Amino acid sequence: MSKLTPTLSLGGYTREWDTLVLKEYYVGEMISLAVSHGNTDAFSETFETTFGKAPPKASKLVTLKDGFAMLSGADQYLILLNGENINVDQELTKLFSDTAYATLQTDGWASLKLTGPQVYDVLERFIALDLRNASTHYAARTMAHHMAVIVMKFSETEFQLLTPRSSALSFLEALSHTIDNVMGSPS
Amino acid sequence: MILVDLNKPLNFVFDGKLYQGFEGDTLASALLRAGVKVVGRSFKYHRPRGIMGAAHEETNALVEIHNDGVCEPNRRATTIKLFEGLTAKSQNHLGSVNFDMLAINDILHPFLAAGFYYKTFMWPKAFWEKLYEPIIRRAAGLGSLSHKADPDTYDKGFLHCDILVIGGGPAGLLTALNLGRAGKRVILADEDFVMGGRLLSETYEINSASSVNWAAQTVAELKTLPNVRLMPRTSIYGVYDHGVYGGLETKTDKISERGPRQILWRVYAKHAVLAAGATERPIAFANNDRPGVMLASAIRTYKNRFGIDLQNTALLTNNDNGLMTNAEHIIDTRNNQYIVDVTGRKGVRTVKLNNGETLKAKHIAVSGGWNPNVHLTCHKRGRPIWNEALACFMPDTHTLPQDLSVIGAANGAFSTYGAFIEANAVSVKLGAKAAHLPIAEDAPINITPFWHVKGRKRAWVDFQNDVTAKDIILAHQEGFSSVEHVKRYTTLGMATDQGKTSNVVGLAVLAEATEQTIPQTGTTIFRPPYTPVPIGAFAGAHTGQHFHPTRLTPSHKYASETGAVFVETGNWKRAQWFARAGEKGWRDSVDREVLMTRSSVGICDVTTLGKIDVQGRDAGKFLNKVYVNTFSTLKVGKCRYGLMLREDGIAMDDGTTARLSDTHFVLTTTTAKAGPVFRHLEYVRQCLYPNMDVHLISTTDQWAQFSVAGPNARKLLQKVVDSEFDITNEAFPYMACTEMTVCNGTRARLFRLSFSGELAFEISVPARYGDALVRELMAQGEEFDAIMYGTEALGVMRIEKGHAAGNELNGTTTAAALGLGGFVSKKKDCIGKVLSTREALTGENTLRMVGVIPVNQGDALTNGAHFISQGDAETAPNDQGYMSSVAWSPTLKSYIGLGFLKNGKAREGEVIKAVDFVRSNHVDVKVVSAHFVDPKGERLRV
Repeated sequence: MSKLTPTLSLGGYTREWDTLVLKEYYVGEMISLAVSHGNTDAFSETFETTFGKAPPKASKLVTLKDGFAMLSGADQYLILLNGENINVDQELTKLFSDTAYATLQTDGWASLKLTGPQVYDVLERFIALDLRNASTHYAARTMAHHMAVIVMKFSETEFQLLTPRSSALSFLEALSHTIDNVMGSPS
Repeated sequence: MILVDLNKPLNFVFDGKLYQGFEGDTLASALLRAGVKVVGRSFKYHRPRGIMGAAHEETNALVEIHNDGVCEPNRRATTIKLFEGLTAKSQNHLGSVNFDMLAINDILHPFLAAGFYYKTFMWPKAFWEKLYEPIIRRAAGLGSLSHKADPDTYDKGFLHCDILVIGGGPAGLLTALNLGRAGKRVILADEDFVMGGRLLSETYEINSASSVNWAAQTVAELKTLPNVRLMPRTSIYGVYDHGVYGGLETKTDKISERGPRQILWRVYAKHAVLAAGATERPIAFANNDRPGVMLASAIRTYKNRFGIDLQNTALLTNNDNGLMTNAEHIIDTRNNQYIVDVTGRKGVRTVKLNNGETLKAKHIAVSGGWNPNVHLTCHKRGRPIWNEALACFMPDTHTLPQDLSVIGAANGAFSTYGAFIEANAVSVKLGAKAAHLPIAEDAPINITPFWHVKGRKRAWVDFQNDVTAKDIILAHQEGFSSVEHVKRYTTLGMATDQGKTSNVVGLAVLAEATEQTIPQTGTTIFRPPYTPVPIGAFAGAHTGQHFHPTRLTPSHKYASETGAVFVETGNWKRAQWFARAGEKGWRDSVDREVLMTRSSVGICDVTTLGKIDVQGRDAGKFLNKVYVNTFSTLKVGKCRYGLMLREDGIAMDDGTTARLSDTHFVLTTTTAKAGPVFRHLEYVRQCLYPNMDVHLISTTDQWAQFSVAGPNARKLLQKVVDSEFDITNEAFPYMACTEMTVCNGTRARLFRLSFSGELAFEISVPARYGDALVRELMAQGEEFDAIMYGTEALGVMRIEKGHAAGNELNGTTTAAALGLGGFVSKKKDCIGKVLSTREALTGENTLRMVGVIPVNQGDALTNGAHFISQGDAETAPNDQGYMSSVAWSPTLKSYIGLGFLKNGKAREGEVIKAVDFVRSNHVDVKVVSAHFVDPKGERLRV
């Protein structure tokens, strides 16, 4: 019996244009934390104790010691932690006890990083949000070409896009098609 | 100042003939420079037509652009930026543009007045569909299609700004400059490829220098401002709710060019300033559509911007602005002079005046006054109001959206100075400092309205649709006095120009006919798009493979490598069957997959089933509300089948739910209903039971899940499940579930569930291991001849087992109809329970799910057949039910079917007819239990 080998949903896709790079990468583990009803204060305390920061407000990506966190929905947070630890949700379930419910999300998403000075020229043809005006460490859950996407802004030239794993290939095709349109390469 | 570079010639072909234009030309200006007078034929009468305008208002010069056998019709020659190699053709003629055989329509014009097709072709009745309509349809329409796929790409995008300035004339430029200097995020959009608007067409001076220089300098400064985005060749075509504006950016007019040809922008603006200028309108007089009759402003544009001096011009004007046109003859209606006829079929030759004088002229410049471009102010139900002094419709500030300001000529400020004053005013209103007012012309327009010359001959009002003043009067005579009715009866103001030059003239003619004022007559409302938007631009990149997203299962790559034939189920691509060498068709593959699974073991990717994590202290109570049966009592480590109802009591979806801990359930849905069920559950959670402690997260993509089914399923799984986990029947019985590890420590979940009716498990691992797990299962399964099976075999086995699926959960069936009435808990309430007990759904004679088999074993069954009792006529009143699912059962060597039959359960053993009304045949079938294979469920419990 072989040990199973993990695979990225897009096989580690990388493509470079003149001044732009699109790359799939392993983001670490992603966990959803849902706040138990009536336990918001206790949750916040545990969150701060565990991650060293208060739970993030909407549209904010908070830097944690080992990753990032964002508000992903009503009473739900998405935690991105560096490194591989497939049982991290179970560990967080214990840590947060009855104040939150943890769900492993890593495998539900594909992660793409888009870097380069023309990143806005591409994203304005792809995502409806006002990303040029967004501050660094802006994060939002939205749609791109009818597909779900979580967009995170790390700098004026670097964005991370998370999209559901099953439709990741369609997402990648749509994004690279858009980049081709912007960068002038044949599509 | 001429804006054409005469040192940069560009070759182009029009109607097969090679011409030369220059950088900066439009196709229209290049054709005029080359002396081409006839550029097309009119819509109905096929009269020769020449260029009339110089911009988007052009009604006559509609041409086709060609390349590589592909053609784009109905492009206005005045908006096509000339490029090297352009190939264009005139349109709407049978024969050449100079000899159009359909010009016979012009001779027959007495029979072709407005609405002629409503009044003729009435007899014989049968001829309408077979003869008249096909001929009319063939003759109608402008331009032709290549019937080839569009080779170009299009894109869409989203822009955000504080202020969207629409129009790059003097008002728009100064506004953008003021706001840009103030640090506002500004988008300045103009449909021309050079910013400047009318400044490019006149010989105005601003601050004692050419107005063209002022425009160029302003644009140059705007380019230096990082907060200002200049968008030439971008037409704002629509205004929508919440500050959203539609914009069409043309990147190139070339066909088959790399990159997107056009980009459809959705612009989000906190405020918009409409500075779209005004459009000159014609005056209707006999034969005013002759080639050479042009708008006076267009003649000035061609002279001042393009360097084309159209000699021998007669000017007809009713205002001072028209007098700016160089003309050999001036005919001013204010002096009671006007034109009564024009000769020259393919180019103006003579002009006959009302005083009997006849002038020789090659061109007629017509200025009937200016219409502010108010169209965009109407898109959110704004209504323009009539300004008597300016003789035009202007925006009504009372009906304007609060986030839209109108300035400049679009607001009736026709002078350059007036435009600057309004630009400064709106800039201050929007928080910017006003610029020092430039010194510019401030001439009043001084207009005395003069709309049309009455007479017996035809005077054109709408050139594009061949609508004459007589047509409008006729419409009124026939009872169409409402402007909206006249528009539809005559086609006034329709098609690509949307009445830019014709609407007000048409209204004036109607007002005269009805003896009302123009404001009393009203105006039609303008709707988006302001300018034509190609369908390709609306589609954007969403064509072909990009039309909708495709979802792939974790085993997709492996399935592709092993002969899978895929089927689309929603957005998913699922393996339908796995073809092997030697198999002659899909039935061979499916039969093999069924038989191998029932005799040994088969593996099927069931990742597509919706998986929803339900967590919280009240998760069990929550599930009690959404399912007909009870879940709060389900023990940890167990699964339970559940049926969900809609509020009206009809079955919504079904699936199994596993309890992993006191507060953690994993609910599954059918593939098709994963989204709707999640939406329903969120509605229930947020709206019906907001105080419950329950959370939902979709984990469909998180877990790769495989069904392992067949007598050898356990043996196979025991080879991959880590040794510390006991999955024997005693330790892990039917409907058990657990979290575990496989393949030396990989996290997994195991559920003992069966859709096939065999001993079966569903094993799931995080999706990153999905591909590896299916390969490992198949490798370990070699000793059992394990096979992959697809959705077809899955479907056959579930019909053999009598499990309801989408065909049965079809939006009309209840729990009782599905044979699941016993599942409905009597101890608790649930969504849909009350309405499911309605008499019409529960009576003795209601539909119940049954199985059917053909009386003659060789007979094939067809899905959708209706059940009729033996001896009854095959008519709707005798309908007893219908067949919902059919399969060839390789296990039973017969067709089998599931269906719904009135009082079905009590009719087992009865022979009825399954009537296929589509194919007009029927098969005698015997009503049996829906459970064809292993009705006692012994196989799945071993």
